[in-house]
Amino acid sequence: MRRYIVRRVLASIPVLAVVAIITFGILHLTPGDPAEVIAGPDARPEDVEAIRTRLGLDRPAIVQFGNWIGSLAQGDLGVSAFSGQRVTSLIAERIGPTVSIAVLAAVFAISLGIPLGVLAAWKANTWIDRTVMLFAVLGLSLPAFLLGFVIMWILGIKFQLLPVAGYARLSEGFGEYLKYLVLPSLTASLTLMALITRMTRASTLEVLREDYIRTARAKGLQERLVLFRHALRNAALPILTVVGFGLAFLVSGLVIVESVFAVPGMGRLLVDAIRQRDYSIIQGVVLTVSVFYVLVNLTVDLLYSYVDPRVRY
Amino acid sequence: MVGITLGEDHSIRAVTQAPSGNSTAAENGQRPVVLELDGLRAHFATPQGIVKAVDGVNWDVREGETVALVGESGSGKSVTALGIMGLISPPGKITGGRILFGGRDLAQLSQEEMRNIRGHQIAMVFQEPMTSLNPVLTVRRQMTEGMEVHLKMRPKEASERAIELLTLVGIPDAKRRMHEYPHHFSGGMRQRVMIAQALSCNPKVILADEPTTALDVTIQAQVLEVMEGLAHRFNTATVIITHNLGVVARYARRVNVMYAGRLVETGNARDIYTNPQHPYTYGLLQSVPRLNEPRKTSLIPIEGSPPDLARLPQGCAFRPRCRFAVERCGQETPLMALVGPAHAAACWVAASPGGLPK
Ligand SMILES: Nc1ncnc2c1ncn2[C@@H]1O[C@H](COP(=O)(O)OP(=O)(O)O)[C@@H](O)[C@H]1O
Ligand code: SF4
Ligand SMILES: [Mg+2]
Repeated sequence: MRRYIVRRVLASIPVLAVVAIITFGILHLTPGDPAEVIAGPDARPEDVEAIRTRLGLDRPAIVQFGNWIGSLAQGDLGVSAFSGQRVTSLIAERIGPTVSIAVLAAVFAISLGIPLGVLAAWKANTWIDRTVMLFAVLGLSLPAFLLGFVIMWILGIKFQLLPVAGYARLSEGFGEYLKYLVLPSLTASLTLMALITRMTRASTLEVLREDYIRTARAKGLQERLVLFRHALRNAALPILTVVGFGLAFLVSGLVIVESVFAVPGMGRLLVDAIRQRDYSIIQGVVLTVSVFYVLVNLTVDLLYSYVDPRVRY
Repeated sequence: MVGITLGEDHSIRAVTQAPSGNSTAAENGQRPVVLELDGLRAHFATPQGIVKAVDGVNWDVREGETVALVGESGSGKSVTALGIMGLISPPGKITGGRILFGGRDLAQLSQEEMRNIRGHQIAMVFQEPMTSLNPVLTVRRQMTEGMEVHLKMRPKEASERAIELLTLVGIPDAKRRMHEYPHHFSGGMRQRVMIAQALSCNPKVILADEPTTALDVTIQAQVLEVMEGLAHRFNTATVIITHNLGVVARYARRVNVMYAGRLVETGNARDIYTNPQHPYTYGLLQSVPRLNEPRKTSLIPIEGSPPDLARLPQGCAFRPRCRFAVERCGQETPLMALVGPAHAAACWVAASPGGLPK
């Protein structure tokens, strides 16, 4: 088991290397000369040249990459071409809201999606199943921002239960912090929740036909134990895979959710940086999100072997 | 000691005692009946028609004794056992008859009442040891959960009993091995785990559905030996379900033979083996090797295959395959009739004065 973990962790290193190369490539693969964009339309040629020299853009790509990796290794993501602020501190400032929304959204999606999926499978082909699946289809087919507006309108404007925009830091009190998080998190979670519900239903339905489920019932176990101890763990592998992929979608969806609910997170940082062609920030955000993807994948893989002992090497 | 009674459908029923347990053990010197099927029916409503998987079956089993339920694959043995457990899944359901156990009719109980009986008072061992244990739970977890639910044992107490039981069924080093998963055990060992689990709550009855069919011949005998030894020791009644009459020769006191959802012959094991009366039983005996006899030189399988249970022919269901058939067989369904002491068969020819020509 320990050897498997070590091997799996080592295997993510080449992936991270590829991520680094692609992130660096953003600068060179996007159309337009970064120095010209930064200098602005009215800049004189010597100003553009100065910027090019300052950013090291005049040197060979391989040297630039070497320097970039060198500073990356020291945790330095460079500075914003416009504000001159360090990219690491800009990200640090904006990562809190994004991570909070992502975590709460994942909690919503998993803690509601799995029981709903199990329920639908257990009551397969009854009105309960059909109702749950109708919501799952809606959750998958409607775009997140539309759902966001609907939820915002119902909970925030019609019933005035929750604030519709903004963000409160944890230092302003946990209740306040949570109040601002609920709407964006719920919105961000819906697609993933629908995905998890569907996968849980399909996977559980299959498992419920297995002989060992009949054995569990023959033991006189309560249905709760039959479903959650015997069926769900066997149904877990495909669900885990969906959770892993789904988290990636969820994070990309945050760009929109943060705009709808005016949350000052990384999504907003990224949108602003793209508008201004602030390459260091774009690279920093992309890199952070990619590292997050790799970590999620690693965790999912390790969970596989925890959930299903036959996966152990 | 045989009582002859008239069944629902006016067939003669040969049971070892009058139904409903109204004569006591002391009266006739026999052990009391623990489980009795009285005209049990279980049908599946399928698009192809109503499949009469179990169609009016009577038999009983007494405290601590072993009876066999025998028949080819598809004759309704598993559905009978699942019916007793209340585990027939849709589109199947019990459509008639009674399952008398502990003074109650199990067919009338609620799901929750049945749940309290399952695994506690009546336990079941399934055919496929490879798929009947949960692959992602340890053997310990699967051994102890029944005891925790029914006997309200604490995990530690249940674990200790699990070690004892696993040792009793012949799993070496049980204390360590019970923390492993089913895929670490061989087929025979898994079936021992199933048996230990089934015995864990001291059930009154064990329904063993083809418990050794999936195992190697040498392992089959060992596993049966273990199961029968423990059932005897704990005074648990066992119903061994099998398609192989040879397998149960040594253990069963009585044998009930099923064909196409009905009982076709019932009798003490010795009579069934030495003097089978129904042509189907006769065929079954010819077609299987016996564990306790030297291998026969030739085994003769029964020709043809079991009928479609949704479209049973008129008359005797066995007629298309029967070499003794007479005209009446195609017109009227034969009813159970005594063919000897404590021995009955549902066959027109067997019931005729001359009996079955041999
Ligand atoms: N789920 C089902 N749907 C329809 N028919 C079924 C189903 N399960 C069992 N049957 C019918 O019941 C008959 C008896 O099955 P079973 O009790 O499993 O036979 P046995 O255990 O004697 O081999 C089968 O031949 C089949 O026609
Ligand atoms: S009743 Fe007729 S067809 Fe049926 S088993 Fe007896 S002889 Fe054969
Ligand atoms: Mg069967």
